[in-house]
Amino acid sequence: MRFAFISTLLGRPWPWGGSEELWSRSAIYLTEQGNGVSVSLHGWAPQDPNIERLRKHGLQVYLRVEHHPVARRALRILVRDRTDLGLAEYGRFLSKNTPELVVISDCNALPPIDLLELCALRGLPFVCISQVNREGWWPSDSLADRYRSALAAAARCFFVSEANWRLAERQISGSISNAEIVRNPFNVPFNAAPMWPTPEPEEELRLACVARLDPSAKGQDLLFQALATPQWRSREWLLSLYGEGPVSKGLMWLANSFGLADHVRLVGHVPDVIGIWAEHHALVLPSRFEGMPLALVEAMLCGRPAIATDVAGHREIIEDGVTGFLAEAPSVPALQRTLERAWKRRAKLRSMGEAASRRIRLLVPEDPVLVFSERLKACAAAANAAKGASFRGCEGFQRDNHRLTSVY
Amino acid sequence: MDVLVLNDTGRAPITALRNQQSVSVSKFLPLRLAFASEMATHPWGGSEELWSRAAKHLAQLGHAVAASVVGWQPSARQIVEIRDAGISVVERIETPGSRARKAVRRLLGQSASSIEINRRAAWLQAMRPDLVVVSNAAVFDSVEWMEASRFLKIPFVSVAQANAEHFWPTDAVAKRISDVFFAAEACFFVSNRNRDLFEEQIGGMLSNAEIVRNPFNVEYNAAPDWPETKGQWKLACVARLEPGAKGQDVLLHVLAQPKWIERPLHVTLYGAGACKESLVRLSDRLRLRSVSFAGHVDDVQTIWQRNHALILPSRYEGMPLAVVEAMLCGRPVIVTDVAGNAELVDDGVTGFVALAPTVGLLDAAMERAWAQRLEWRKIGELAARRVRHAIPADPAIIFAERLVDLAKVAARR
Repeated sequence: MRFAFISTLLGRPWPWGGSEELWSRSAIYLTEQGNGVSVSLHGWAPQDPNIERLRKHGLQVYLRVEHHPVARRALRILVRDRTDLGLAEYGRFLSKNTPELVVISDCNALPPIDLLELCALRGLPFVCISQVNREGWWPSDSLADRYRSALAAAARCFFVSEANWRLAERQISGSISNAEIVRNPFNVPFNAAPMWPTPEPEEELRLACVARLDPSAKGQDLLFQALATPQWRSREWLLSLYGEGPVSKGLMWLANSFGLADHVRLVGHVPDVIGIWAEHHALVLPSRFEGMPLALVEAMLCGRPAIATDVAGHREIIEDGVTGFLAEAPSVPALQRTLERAWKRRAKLRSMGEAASRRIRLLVPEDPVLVFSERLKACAAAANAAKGASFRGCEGFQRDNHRLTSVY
Repeated sequence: MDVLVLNDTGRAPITALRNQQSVSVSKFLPLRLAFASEMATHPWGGSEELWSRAAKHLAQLGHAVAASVVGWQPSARQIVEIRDAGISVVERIETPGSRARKAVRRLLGQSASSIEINRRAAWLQAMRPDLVVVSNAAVFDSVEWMEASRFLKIPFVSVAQANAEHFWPTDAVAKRISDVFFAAEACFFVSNRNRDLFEEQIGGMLSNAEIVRNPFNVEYNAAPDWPETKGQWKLACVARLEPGAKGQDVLLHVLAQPKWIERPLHVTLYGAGACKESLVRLSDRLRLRSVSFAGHVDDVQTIWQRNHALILPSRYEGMPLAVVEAMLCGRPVIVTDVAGNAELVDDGVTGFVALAPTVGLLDAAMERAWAQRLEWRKIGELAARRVRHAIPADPAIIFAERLVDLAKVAARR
């Protein structure tokens, strides 16, 4: 079968991220099984090792250019071509080897509407993956309208948590009945069981915040503020921030200005996730919005409970007070209350971690890539079978969209 | 005192200024003041009231006042009014130039923004004002204006009408932003929380930060009669129909719970916005029969003649006019604890504060409010007294006076 993968990740400021693991590993898996797989990626970092890895596995990688050549721009002006250049590139990519299924992976709430409409207009069966969603994004009425018809044309809309899916339904003010929950692959073995760290939490509580250094999404500022109380300053605890991000200096400044310099350290990115959990008792994740964080799944697989805000998929895998702690909202008082509860029960963290490690194995499959790839094959097969008859999603799809005419 | 009329370039005729100085018997020294607004999403909005009213007041006093705003077709009524008040207004059309110029730009792959920055600098250079007042709907919007002013060594102040956690600058951008904000004569914020958040975002303390109050659209002595209950309590949600900012979806989900449906409560959503249909559809889907949409209402006082309390489930804010106006009209407010929403409200005393814009927490605050509904009138009366301690009768004039002081201080250097 022929699959075309499109990742809409812009490459700035991050050429690669956790959102790219699911589609890229599935693309590799499908290639290894003998399917034809082509990939369209933003060409901002052509030498990125992750892109090299895809090439090495025999995938056809097409990089979208960032700056279009002068000749192309000139020609477009001459023929008065007004289509978006980026969309035109998607169009060319999809023309190349008539895929049986297009897989669109997006690191936002929903993929770009133009791209969805392009697939629908061409009658290409497509699925989309949304890796995150947030309340701050809300489409206007006309955009919501277009999303309702375009998403209805998808073979499947994959979301990483039910909360993300339900929020998307609120945003486009319509139900997404072809939605399905998908699990992301993780970076620890399924049977991971790192040793419980010494010292015990009663002597020194060791917390790890494993998240991109970006407070607008991950809320590290809320965490610092919640811990900046005389009570917490006098306690024995350590908070390690793992990960990289655009606001590392800003976060150090914040920690210092809240008087937490003795308690907080910035470690940077660490490839060995098990190593993190061999040294820490619990995960803290004060996110403002999420999809289904890998850091959370990995911590639970390693037998560590999480202290997290009740956003997106957190509540779907954490049972408050049993396998972790949930703060009602990403706000300072809510986090304060939750941290206090966790502190009082710090002697129980180990047994909660054990419960978490049992619970998470019921919720995520051992090999999410295998599961997802099989779903993609099933989608492609169903679409193939439906061919001849009209592809279900395309019925009733408006063809009078002027922005798409030249691409179409 | 004569009102100075500026020509189209925004340059005040020098002779007019000289004449006025020599003729004037008092010590009045007319200043040149430039106002720049970057609000681009709507032709007009609450964020524009402060600078525009201050500008009108200053023009009436005889200062030379010019303004640069984002152009709309047709112009907002308020833009026409400030032009009539003797202010030279430039309406920037963001797609500039002839077809040839556009073609060249597309060929070179040049962004529109660099051209826009140059146009701003050219306008400032032509006018050489004593003070530039840069007003932004959101705090990071007008860095270009401030950079242009700084480059031209023209004193400037910034007014930030809102700030939100989701605009967190990267380290590099934070450096660029803090450089210009430190160089400002003053950085005005509309709430303490907006300022605190901004300091966290740029990683530095602003010694030149000041809090400013916005003008409002009700009489300062407004006291609309308490609406008769007639067995039904009425809440008004006065906010742009944009759930991403104002959180109306959270409110509708609270109201969809059976216990709220059964209560004699009617909620009216006032305001217009890009997501009206979405909200109507959501309200229909949740089968909310006691929710209605009233659209935009010019006369705010009439809203409070009909409603008993304000409900404002915002996700981010500055210092909402809706809260100030409701309290001035003697109505209790139910708000989420974001930005300045709760700064004027004493929880349980002059209103009710939900800890965060989530269904559970808003529900909890509304429950507390509902339990005290027989006290709403008293709570509203107290709110009306308290809000007048925090909010002056004419904030725009106070702001204008402060601008004159700042311009004079800068001129002396």
